[in-house]
Amino acid sequence: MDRDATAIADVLPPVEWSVVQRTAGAGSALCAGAAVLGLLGVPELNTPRLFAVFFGGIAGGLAVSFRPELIRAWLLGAAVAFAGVFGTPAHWDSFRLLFAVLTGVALLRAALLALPAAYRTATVSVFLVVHFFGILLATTSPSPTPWMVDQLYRRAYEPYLQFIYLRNAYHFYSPEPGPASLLVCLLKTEDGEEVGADGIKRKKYRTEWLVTPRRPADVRDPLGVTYFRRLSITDQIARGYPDMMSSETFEKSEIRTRRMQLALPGSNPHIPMHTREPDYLEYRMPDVLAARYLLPSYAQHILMDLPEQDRGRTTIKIYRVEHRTLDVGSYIGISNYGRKPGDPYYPTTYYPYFLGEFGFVKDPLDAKKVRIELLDPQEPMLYWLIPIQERPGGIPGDPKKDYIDYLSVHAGREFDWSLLR
Amino acid sequence: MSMTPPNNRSFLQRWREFWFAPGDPTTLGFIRIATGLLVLYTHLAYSLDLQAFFGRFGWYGTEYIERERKEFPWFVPSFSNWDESDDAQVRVPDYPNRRAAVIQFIRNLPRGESERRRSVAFLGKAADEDNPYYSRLSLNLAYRLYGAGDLQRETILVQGLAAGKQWYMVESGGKVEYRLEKPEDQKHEAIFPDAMMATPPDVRAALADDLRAFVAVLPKDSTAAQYVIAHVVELDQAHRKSFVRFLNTLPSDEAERAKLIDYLEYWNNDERQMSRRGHPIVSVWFHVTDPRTMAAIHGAILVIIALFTIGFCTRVTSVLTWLAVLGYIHRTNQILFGMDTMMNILLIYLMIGNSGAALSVDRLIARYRAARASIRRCGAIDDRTRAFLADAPPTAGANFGIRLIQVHFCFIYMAAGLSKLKGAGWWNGTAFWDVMINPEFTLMKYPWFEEFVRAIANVKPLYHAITMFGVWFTWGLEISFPFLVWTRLRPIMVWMGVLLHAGIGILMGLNIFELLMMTMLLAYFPAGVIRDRLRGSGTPKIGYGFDPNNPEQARAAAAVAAVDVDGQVNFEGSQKPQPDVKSLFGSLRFLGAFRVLLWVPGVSGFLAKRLAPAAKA
Repeated sequence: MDRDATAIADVLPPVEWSVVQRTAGAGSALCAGAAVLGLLGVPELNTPRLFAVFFGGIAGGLAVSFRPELIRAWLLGAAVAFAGVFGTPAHWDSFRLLFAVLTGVALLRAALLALPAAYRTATVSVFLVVHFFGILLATTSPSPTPWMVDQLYRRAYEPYLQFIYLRNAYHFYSPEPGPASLLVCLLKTEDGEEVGADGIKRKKYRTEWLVTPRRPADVRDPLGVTYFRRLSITDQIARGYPDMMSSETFEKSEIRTRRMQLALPGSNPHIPMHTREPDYLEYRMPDVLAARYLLPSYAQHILMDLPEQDRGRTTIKIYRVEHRTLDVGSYIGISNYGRKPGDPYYPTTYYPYFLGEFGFVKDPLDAKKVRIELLDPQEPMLYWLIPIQERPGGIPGDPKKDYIDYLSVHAGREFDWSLLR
Repeated sequence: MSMTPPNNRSFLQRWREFWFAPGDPTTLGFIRIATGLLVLYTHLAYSLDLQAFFGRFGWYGTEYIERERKEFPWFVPSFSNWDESDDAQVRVPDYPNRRAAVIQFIRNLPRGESERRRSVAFLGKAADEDNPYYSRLSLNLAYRLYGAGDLQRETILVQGLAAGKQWYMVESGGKVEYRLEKPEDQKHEAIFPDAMMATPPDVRAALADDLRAFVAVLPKDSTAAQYVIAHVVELDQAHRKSFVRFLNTLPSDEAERAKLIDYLEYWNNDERQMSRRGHPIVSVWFHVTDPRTMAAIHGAILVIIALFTIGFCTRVTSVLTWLAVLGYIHRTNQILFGMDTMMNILLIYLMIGNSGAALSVDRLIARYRAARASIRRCGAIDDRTRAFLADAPPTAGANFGIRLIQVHFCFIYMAAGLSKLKGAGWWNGTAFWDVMINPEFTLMKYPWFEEFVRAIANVKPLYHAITMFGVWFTWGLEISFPFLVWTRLRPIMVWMGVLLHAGIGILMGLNIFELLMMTMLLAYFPAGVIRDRLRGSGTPKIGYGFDPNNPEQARAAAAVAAVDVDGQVNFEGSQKPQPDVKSLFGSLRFLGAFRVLLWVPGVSGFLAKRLAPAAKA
């Protein structure tokens, strides 16, 4: 689109070609020099190579920007980028990819400029159609997706749209806005031993509740970007599916059995089913990717934030707490006991799902290594909703609380609900 | 960029005019400044969380993203084959305990290929069965025999299956017993499926061998063995075949085999079946994890974004800014929301459209160079140069960039609007209510807002009117916008869009996201509107005398011409006086914005030399 430069050349003198040549020459020399240094195979030279490639790339870019209407400028730019592919150290593989892409773009642009105007317009038009067709496919990619869309998207468009990050489907707040989720964690650190009333020595633990995100603590910038980024972190693990519609498979029947045993009167701990949620919706296994990679990573992040001496002896129980909005009747109080207006932050509006207890364990394949793992995959409450509910009868009997907090029962430590406000 | 091209034009003519006609770069320049400021802010905010978001042990740790970007499995089902069972992938259970058991079973299988094939031949036969029900029965049989213990299993296999005699399983006193005779008086179950017993003796004998070999490689721990068999039982026939194929084709090379099983354990896929692996993504944060180096790079990126915002070397800094922003995006997807998407879209199109052609340092430099060239040519600012200085010349690139933003915006609105129609809440109004009172997003933390909403909700018709209007307005605007924005209703549509985003910004606190959406809406503003708003009116005129033959004065005159963006200066001969630098800063509107610089010691003298050398003399 830089044919415009020629139109104003009589007013604005173009940059001398020799300047373009010299600049691109410097860029090429830097990138090629980096490539030559790479042949020596000395790891200490990687940093100088990176600097050379970075400044070489910029010089190449500047050279092109001086005379973008010239084919030869783009060819020089392509040469610099191509040298950059080899100049970049191998372990910076993503930048090798970048330089390869830049080479392709520069060559494509040079080829476009070489075409007669009509063909150039036609070619750019084809690019436009292809590009926006990709955007259209991205908008239709969430399920249910036509088979053809899926095929085209995966075969042709995915790498392109992924590289430039244009894969969003723009389905904002749809099909329904849905509640936000918070990450509530209980950190449990082994802290010596203590002798119980029965005279038996037991391990002693320090515990701490962490909530992410919190307002105003996590609103670190005036417009709250830091807060919303943390809200996205919790949103990532909210994707899951209620999967207890059928329990014909072996594992599911096991999961159900384990859970039901805790709901039986007299069990220890006794955690009944939620009274306001159907049983089959109470089990919500997170998206597989979230369960396998995100949760251990989140746990690692929190644990690595602890003092070094505590990391190995601390475990972390993670709960995703869904904060449901009140319907209008509950909000204004018309459907509440005593017609009392509902509090949008009342504990019963929170729906905690237990996502497991994580900690460092020895790597079974390499005894010298440790890794973060889900400690008990058969914990009876794993992925189950933990009820926070009104006391039976609905009439507040306890002067302190008029709800039963099974989150605290499950965690083994009283949860401070003010952390969620 | 006329909005209503003559009706007698062909589609191709209209297409060319729409995309390729030269356009005023002012709008794009203005969008660049707005976007640059928002990008700068967003990335300044990252400074507070650099380690938490992008560090080695950030929320999404380096080792996790490294594996993901290098190994993530991509599989494309067959394009032409109707039989989708061929696309079935090898699967291990998603439940961690079951997965561990199945993976251990795979790891423990014999290394030698023939021995391994022998061990899983029973599984292979079960997977090849035409009748899936029979397959399941066969596999359940394996588990029953496993539970029978070595000695009894051998007896059952030899005297039962091989000899063609049925055995029975009886539960008695909580224990399982196996009997050759049918216990008529007790609840019992035949061990061997009837279809199996109906096969010829040699087939049964072979089956007995297969069963024996399979049970021998099952885990010693009965729960683990149960998980392994349950997994194969619960797979459908196509996946069962795929599972057996994986076992049969494990490489004999130890390292290769371990790598393959590790990939299966981590990604639940056979890497040999993938059409591609990993993500084609770029980020400096994949490679840099040292906190100090990270801080230095982040600082450099902020400088690049600032340079892009002011439009310095825009063709280069726009690319660098986009790549830098992309680096943050690709490193940690988990912290992104709509804001990042919009930021990226704007940066891509601003980069393509050469957004530095107006309202930029680049433009100031171009103005200076044009004025210098004119003075060199004729000793004055000639008419052609005056026209160039008065307005940035239209460029095809500017129009192209604007069109890209406009069209992409229509896709965004259309997708956002249509997808809402899938939800009942966007029909009955509860979606609007849910958005309005969401405690994590809205102003609900303020008691006055809570009470305000309650006051509204207490009036039933008012509540219903607002929620109904809210949802109708939202999806009505989003769906109609892509059609009506190209008509004479454009101003109304654009302002309604601004209203929508301002409303969401205030209600939900997503300020930057909404500001970016409004920035995109700027693409629909005629350049003249922006130019006129930025241009000063009624600004005083001043005279500026200079000697074109004096290189110092010629350079100064060109510099003054460059910063005289409102055309306030009349350039005159050297016999006319030259205003001093304070007068220039006091009179020229553009320089007035930087008047504070004159307070810095030394700056006034420095600028006097370059802008008003004659006055100084």
